[in-house]
Amino acid sequence: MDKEKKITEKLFGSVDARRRVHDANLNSEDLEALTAPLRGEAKMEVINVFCVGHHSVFPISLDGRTELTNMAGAEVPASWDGKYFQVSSCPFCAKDTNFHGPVLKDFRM
Amino acid sequence: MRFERSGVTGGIVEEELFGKSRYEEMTHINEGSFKFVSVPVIINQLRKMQPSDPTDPGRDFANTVHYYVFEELGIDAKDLRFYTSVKSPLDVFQGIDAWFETGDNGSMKMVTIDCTLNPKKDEHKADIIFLVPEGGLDRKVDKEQFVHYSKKLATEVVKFLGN
Repeated sequence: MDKEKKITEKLFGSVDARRRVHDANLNSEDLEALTAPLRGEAKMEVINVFCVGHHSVFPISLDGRTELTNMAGAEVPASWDGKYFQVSSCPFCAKDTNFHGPVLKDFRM
Repeated sequence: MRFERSGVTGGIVEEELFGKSRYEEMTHINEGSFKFVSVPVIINQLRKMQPSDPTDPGRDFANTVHYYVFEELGIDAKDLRFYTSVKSPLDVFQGIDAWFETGDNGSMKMVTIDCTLNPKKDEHKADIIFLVPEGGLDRKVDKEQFVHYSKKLATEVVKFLGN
């Protein structure tokens, strides 16, 4: 870590992704987030990701959906209704700020 | 730049807060650079990943600035929130290290901060560029300097939040 970042971290602290619970099971809060309708505006929020790494659900863009579909080696489904990606880590908790280990899932199953 | 939101609650308030079109219009930043995650979503995620209570920051410096700001604004400590974004996508892709927020639905204001050692830094996305000394800031090492810089940053923050 460079000097400037060290100083900044000392002054402000840093984001702590690991404070979140590492639990691959969806709880009621997660399910609520997954089932909430996505607005899809500007193609930025078209599908949800459930990150096991810092246990959180958040939406990603259309480009992100394409990327994770390819990374997962998944077939493009006929309908995206109910679909979401589960990842082992994501830009918020992975050191390289990338998504890792995506699996396409359906919260209705 | 400063972003405000108006009268919306729930999961979409962050979108309202940053407003994608306003955001892109003002910053000319392609949100695709955020690994497929919109800025409002990043903000919302980071709020859940704080190392301490945003209304009582754990770090001495952040806590001191927080104190000076709420005192100067004449508001309760609980009405001023500090969030670090160090080691987050907002830091990596935008150079924003932290932000302060006041208000609630309909009256929220936020101001972003970028810490730097470079006095000639002119490219930045944050509202405030905070120049810190090469040796950092530590109350135990130089209390006068620590207080001086705390007040200096607090004054800048108040300029944005006080209007």
